[in-house]
Amino acid sequence: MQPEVKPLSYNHRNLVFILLTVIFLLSLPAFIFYGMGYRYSFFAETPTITATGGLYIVAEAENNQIYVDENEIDDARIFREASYIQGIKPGLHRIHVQSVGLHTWVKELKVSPQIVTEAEAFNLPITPQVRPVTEFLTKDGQLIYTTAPSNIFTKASSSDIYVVSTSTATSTLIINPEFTLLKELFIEKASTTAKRLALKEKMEKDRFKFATITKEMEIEEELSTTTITRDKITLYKNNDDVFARAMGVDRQVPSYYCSNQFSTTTTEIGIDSRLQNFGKLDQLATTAENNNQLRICRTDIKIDRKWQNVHDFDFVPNNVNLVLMHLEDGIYVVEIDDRSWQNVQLLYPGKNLAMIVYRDSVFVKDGNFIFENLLTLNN
Amino acid sequence: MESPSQEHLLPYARRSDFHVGRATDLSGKRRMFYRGLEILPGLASWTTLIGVVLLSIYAPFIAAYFVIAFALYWVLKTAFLSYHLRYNWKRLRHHMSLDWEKMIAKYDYGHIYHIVILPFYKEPASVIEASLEALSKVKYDPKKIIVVLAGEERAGDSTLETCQMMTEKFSNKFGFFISVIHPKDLPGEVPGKGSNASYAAEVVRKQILDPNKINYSEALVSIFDIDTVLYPDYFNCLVWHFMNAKRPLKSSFQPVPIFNNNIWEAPAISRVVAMSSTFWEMVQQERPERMATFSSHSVSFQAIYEVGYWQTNMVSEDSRIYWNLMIANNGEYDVIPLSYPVSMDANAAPTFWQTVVQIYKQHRRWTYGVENLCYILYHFRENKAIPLKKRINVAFQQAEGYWSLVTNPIMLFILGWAPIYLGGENFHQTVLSYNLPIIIRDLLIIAMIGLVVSSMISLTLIPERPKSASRWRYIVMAVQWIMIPATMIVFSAIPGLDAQTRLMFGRYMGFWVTPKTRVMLK
Repeated sequence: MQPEVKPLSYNHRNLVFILLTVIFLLSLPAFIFYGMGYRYSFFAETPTITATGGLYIVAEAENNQIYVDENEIDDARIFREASYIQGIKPGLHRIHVQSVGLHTWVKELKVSPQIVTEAEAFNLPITPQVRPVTEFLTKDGQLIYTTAPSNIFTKASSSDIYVVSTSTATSTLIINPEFTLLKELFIEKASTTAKRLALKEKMEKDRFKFATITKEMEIEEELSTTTITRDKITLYKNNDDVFARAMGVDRQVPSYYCSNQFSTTTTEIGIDSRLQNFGKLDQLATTAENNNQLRICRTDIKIDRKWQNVHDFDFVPNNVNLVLMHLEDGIYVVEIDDRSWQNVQLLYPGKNLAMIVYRDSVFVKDGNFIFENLLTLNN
Repeated sequence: MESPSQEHLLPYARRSDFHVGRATDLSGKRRMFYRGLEILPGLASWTTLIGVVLLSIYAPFIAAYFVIAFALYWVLKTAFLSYHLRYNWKRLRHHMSLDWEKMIAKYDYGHIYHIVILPFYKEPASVIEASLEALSKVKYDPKKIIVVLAGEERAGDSTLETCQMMTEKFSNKFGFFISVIHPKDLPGEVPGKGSNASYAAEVVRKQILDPNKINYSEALVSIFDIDTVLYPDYFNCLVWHFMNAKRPLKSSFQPVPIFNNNIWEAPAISRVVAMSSTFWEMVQQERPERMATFSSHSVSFQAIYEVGYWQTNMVSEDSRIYWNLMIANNGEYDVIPLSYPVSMDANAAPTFWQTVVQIYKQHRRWTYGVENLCYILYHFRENKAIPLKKRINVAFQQAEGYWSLVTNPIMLFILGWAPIYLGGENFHQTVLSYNLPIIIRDLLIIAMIGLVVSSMISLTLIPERPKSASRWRYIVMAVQWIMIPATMIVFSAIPGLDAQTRLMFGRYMGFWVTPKTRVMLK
């Protein structure tokens, strides 16, 4: 008597092994070519193998929809805020990122074979969203206005509840320490700006007078307070324009500063025409020791100011790719990325405003009212 | 305690270097060569791991191709192993359903004795008692069973007490029952299971086999870890395979160790690791040409007597005895898979972290079996009587096994992402860089299908649920397999790398005894 289930025979095992080896050898090139971006167009009239590229879009807005050349993209999200779209034919593509109640971000991006083009979309609320900061609070902490802030809430929306009272009796109200602090900060900022403007005026007047180098340097130093640096990106004003300068190397430099194409032999090949328009090119690490780094990057990008005077500028909190531009008719958010164009979205409209960025928040002073400007929709 | 005469040994086993344990046992060029062999596994593993990192920095595209190829290889390897596993599971269940007593009835096997050697150190009496209890219930003529309880003098007075207690309780249940105390600090010995078992085997020969004129070729030695609980038909199954073996005296017989004695009490991490070990043995049962003996196994007394029993100067004696036998018999030696289980303990210490440490140390000891690779390669160079093809095949299989044990999990689950982080900007902006994690993730998900097979098989191998354990535990036992990537790294790759590195630097390990504690659920 023998057990009915015999051990696996050597021949049988060998056959399975050979089969799997064949599968390995046949599928490996397919996996590698797929990974590199090559796609076979099965349904085309003349099927061909095409080297495709990809798009990596970061968009913070909730429930956003991404369109590439008017086609909505599904299932491309790889992280909570990032989508990776692959298999895109090389060439220029128009990208829309939109969501209900938010501005639409639109950009034309060049996609190169085997290269992923990165972009960061931003979508501000169409109706500005604010959090009021009142001078007084009720004893239970509720916001209270002594004058109706009607002019604000015609152009902005808030989900915070407030009451309007004509009484300013301190026995029933508490002074809001946040308001007091912000008021001081706005006063301090106004004084610094005035001093800077005075200095600038003086410098203009002294232009044709003899001046010592030391004195000129002192004035330059005073003026340099307009320079803001964050994460190796510096914002500075030159004449009437604001520029963003990339100070870092390698991956510290955002991709939109650089040529999107591989430069294999010389530094000139593959330089985007945009780069040629800027005088200052910074060739990053083209030495033999680090021949992996062949990107060609410029250092400065001009920020769109809509042909208006710039009152103030700063980085959007927690984002080095977006700039807050306080212009004549309001406060705008402008992206540094100037591929095709710079998206400009209104954060808060109005004249005679003041703006400060304090502890990751943007505060605006409109007349006697202070509020925090929110970058997302109120729930 | 070796016999002064070497006449009983096979010719090759008479060599002074036959029982070499480490390079320091040799001298001159042989010592240098052996030392080189000790360095080799660790060097190969570290070179691979560091190589992948360097490749990711300096040639990220090549590293990415390599990673994709490796992930694909892993998927197919999983499929290949799952195919073996599933088949062996089918065979195991079939073997468990057979009436082996009836199967061997046609043979004249009454003359075959079973010598059961149970080496122990400080394990609690309850563990030893459970093993002896199960042994007393096997379906085989108890008069033909010789039980050797092999304690260690170094364990202290408790050893003698345990031996006395067990002798009183079980001596009348078997044909022969002896307790042997292995003296401590015998010259040339590494304290451990091998030295204890060898001492016991020689005592059995002198005190039982020779006085009772039992033929060495008619005595089958089963060396069991002290927590081994036998299934009733083990000896009948063993006899059947012994009778049907092409060369029974040139064969070792390997059961499937299932670490399920305390599976309901052990933590999930321990269950996964224990069951993974069982699965690996099940896979090996279907490809015996790659097998070496592991843990509890059986072999004729004649065979081990011809090679001087188990080696006393090294750690992984359970596998080494097979290599001793294979090399001394010029390659004419087999491992016969029984596809019949023996139950053993999964690691379970009083606290979770103690269990983790215990598993780690046990696996480091097991993976220190890489010392066998040095032994094999050394003697394959010396013993030209072994066919060259066999030497090349075995050397390659063993080397690949120890290399992949250490490198594969780390490369797959950690270094697979290295090109993305280390590849530099030019690589980072390519489609390949973005697609690499997606391809690896998808391939690993496909490989997870193998885990589903494992999960289902594991549920069929666990003993009946104790009343105090909730039915939900079945679900936990099915889902626990998601821990596999972590357990492969923590309890396979890292202890393996630890063991290989120790060997590489000549920091030789001693035998670490896995503590056996049981808190049984009712």
